[in-house]
Amino acid sequence: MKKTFTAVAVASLAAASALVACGGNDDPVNSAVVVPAVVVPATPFVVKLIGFNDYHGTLESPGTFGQNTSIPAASRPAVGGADFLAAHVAALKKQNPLNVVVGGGDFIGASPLVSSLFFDEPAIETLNRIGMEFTSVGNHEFDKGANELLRLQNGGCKITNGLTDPNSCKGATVGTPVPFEGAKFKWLSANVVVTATGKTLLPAYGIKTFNGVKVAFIGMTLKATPSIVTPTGVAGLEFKDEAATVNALIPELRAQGIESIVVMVHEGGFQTGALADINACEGNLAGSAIAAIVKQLDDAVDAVVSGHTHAAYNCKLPNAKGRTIPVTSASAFGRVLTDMDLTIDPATRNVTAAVATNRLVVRNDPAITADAVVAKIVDGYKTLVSPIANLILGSITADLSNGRIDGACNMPAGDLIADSQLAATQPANFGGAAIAFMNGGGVRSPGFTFASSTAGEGNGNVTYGEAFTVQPFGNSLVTMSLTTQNIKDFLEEQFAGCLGQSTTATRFALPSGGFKYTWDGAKACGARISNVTLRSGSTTETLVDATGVVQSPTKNYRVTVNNFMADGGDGYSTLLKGTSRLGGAQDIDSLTAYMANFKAPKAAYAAGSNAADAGTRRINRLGSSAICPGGADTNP
Amino acid sequence: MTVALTVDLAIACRLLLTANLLAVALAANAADTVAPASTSTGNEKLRQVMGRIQAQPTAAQAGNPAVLTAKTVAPERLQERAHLLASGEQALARRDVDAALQAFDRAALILHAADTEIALVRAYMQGGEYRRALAFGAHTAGAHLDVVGGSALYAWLLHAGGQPVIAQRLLDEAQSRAFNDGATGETANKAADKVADKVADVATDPRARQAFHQPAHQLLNRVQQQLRSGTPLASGALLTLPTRLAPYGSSEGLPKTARVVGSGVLLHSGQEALVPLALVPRTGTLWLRNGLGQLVTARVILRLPEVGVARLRLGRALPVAQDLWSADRDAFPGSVGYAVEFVAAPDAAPAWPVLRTGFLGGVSSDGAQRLLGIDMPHDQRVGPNLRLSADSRGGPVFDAAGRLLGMALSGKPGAPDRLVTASTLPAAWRQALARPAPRDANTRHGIDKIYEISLKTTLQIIALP
Repeated sequence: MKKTFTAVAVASLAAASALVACGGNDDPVNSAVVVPAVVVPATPFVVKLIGFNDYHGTLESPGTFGQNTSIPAASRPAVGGADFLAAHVAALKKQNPLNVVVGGGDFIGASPLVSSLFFDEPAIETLNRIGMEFTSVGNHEFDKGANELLRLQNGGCKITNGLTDPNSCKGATVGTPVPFEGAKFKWLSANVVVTATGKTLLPAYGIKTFNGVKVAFIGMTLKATPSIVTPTGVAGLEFKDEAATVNALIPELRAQGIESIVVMVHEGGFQTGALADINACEGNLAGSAIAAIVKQLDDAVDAVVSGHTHAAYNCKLPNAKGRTIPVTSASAFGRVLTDMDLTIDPATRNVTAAVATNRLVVRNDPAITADAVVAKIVDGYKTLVSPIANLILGSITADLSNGRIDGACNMPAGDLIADSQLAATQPANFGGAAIAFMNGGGVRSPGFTFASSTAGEGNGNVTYGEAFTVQPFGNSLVTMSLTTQNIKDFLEEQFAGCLGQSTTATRFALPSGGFKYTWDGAKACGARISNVTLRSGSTTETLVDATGVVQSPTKNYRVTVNNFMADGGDGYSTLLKGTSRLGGAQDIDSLTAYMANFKAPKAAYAAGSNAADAGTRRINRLGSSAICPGGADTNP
Repeated sequence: MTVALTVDLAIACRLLLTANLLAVALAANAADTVAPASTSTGNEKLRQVMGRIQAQPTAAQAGNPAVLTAKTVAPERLQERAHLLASGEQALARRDVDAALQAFDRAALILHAADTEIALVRAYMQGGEYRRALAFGAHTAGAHLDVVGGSALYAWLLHAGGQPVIAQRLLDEAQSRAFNDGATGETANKAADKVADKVADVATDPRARQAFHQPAHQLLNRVQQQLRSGTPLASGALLTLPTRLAPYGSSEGLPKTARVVGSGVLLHSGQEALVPLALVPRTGTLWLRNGLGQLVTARVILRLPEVGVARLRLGRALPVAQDLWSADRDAFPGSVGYAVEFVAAPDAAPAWPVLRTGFLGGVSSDGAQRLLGIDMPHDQRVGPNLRLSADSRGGPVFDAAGRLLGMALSGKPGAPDRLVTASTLPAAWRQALARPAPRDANTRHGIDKIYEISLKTTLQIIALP
């Protein structure tokens, strides 16, 4: 009913659904996605357009929201949250495989801490999984400047002072790719021109093909963006008139055989009246900027997805020819989705009907289950936003490596951890431990570093985040009773192939302060350990003598290990014999509590300073090799 | 071109904010007490003022495309908006949160503006919805960079909720912007003068005139000063609308000399509280007020000198946080903990408590006490000459899952703070502390949720000196 351009019928075999984004006067920047070919139907078909705007990185529910203002506050359902937004979009997509998800801009910027602290990478990662395909830029896309917007589009880590910013590229923690994957959707900026080149900053429009019919999506922000954004954010950019930009693109689109055109523009209006129903259009947005834009639009445009004002409305407004076209806005913060069915006539490739409905993104619909993948990402960032990461636990005088520093296999970082676990479980009600052992593999790289991290805590200070890097497993402590013979056997089974240990793994655990022993890798399994002593105060007790004979073999000692070891992990099957087990704190808690003893103004922790060690190393070796065994060879 | 437009926008936003500030100041006429329902005369006057201010095209609005939205809204709609903001503020002042939200929501449907959003954030806080307030406060601060009240409020809420580092960064950024806008600030003042002169009520009211001349950096400096003290208290200009960095609260029955002496913990019945014995006066009345500004009288029903705590009966029940659970055992030393308390104050003004994060301490060297471990401020300084006692500890302590572990207690002079754990209390007291946590209540909470729980659980202890 509106078109003057008639094209030759499309090929009988064509892409069912392919998308591409294009620069204003440039060649397409992406190749079309190849999809299974289908027969073009002879009859009109429906494409479901799912739209929303002004997401502002709202990963979590922004609270309750009503269909209109007459709904009492107590009756308004909780809405939004990226997990439910994803679920609702998925449910709508399921209704019609011919679908597209589009946005009206302001998807980033002015966002909650859980997104803004991480440079809005969480917003992008959730939008990727919600299924966003094309969105206009909004004014807030320019809050941090064009270069940052391009980084968010293309991916890569945020660089601060030449280094990856500590709050960027957190995918390893939250379960997303590293480096930051960038937006899988296309930001469109038809009216944002780089002054120096005269080209649009981002593609002017995107195209998606349904049953062989191309549909174009033009995206743009309000032309007044420079007046509401920090000047540095829009430096070097020019913002053109919205309607004029759209109208200028129409011939180009038609030249590509496109008759179905949707405009996403980050500009809006308000309904008059007090009810403000999300599917009403009281006052027809009279006097608003969006109404003024639509009134100038070429008749080729079929629908407008708008935003900016955070209002919800479902309007039909007159274009330049007086024909009314759908103009929608879906509130903000992921509260509402616009569900628009566009009927397309394959013969004319034109939209012949459009029916839009705004729907609340409710969290209480039993038929809609939160998207678990998105929820996990949000939870991951929620954990990261906790202020504990940069709290200082205590300080150290020098690096405490997680590497073996001698042929006997001592490890400074492991010593500290074993000491902390003993300290945490020494009180009678926490286990009454006398000895602790820490498995070497559980002390993660790089150990405790003296140099300040990028968080700026200062040299020597150990933050919770750094400690967590060394102890990331969340193991809990288990205190158990072991006999002297058990202890001897446990030490023997550190060697490859001995007492059930793997034939290819020699694994030395790290004992707590005051516990010492000597090993000789040249001897046979079961005869390598000698001189096992335990010092407490000024008293030193011998558990195994210099010839390897176990003293008081049935005497019990309370020994603390982590639950991984306690369950026989790392081949320490002897620990399965431990009795009177008492579960305790997490390993990280014990380390945190112990490091408080070395927090300024108290003296910093120094390797080898534990008085119970009396100045000598805990693990000793016969022979002069400086190589700590780590595989099948027990005596390198 | 761009610079000029930015200046104009700043002026426009400031004037719109100021207009509403004046409106509610005139109508509600006070900060800390329950505002009486305004007379119809007062409301009419208010509407007239608002109408004159907002119907008047300012120098800023003229020719500025950035304020086209405001400009193109019909004058009667702007007047309706002003009325909604004023009536919403009045509802908020009498702590009718639903009515306030209804009014502010409707105002937001007329114009997207910072003053409405700031009001909404405060309304969410008044209703105890910290997470919602924080999320929306983030938006307000980010979307209205030239309205420093949004940044000030967001930074205050972040700091109160245990994010002082990020709050500081935000404030620094806002101050940097304000500094860079120094020249434009002067321009704004001149424009404000012109408008103020034209509005009789403003021109003749020194307080209102002063409000027009509150430079952005002054507000930020005051907030900065308070947050850096570690014991932030909102008073004076920090209680000025629209920013107002505290909840409204009842002061009914409070003598003028009453003051906040410390903090206590609301027990799960909502009818009792646990407080430090040292803060309980031997005689006289005691009042308790939560983070939502709800005030009740209280009397001592039990004392436990060996632990240093007392149990109070409230004059009427206070609301209990929905997710308030007790931990099933004492927390391990070194585990993450959160201590929340109100800042002791030289007056009895309502406030939002402050959450601090740290790692729970172990058992004291004599084995008799559990140490708090979390670094808390001591030697609170309120104003240049007034120093408050360090014995004001007493708020709730939560674990990482938001379960109530017990109450913080000031150590003896020079000694570290203590943690009164549930296990140190008699069985009947233990049971009264909080409901046992269900099996699925052991997952780690976000700090914002823990603070939200604490808004109802932490109590100001108000007494006469």
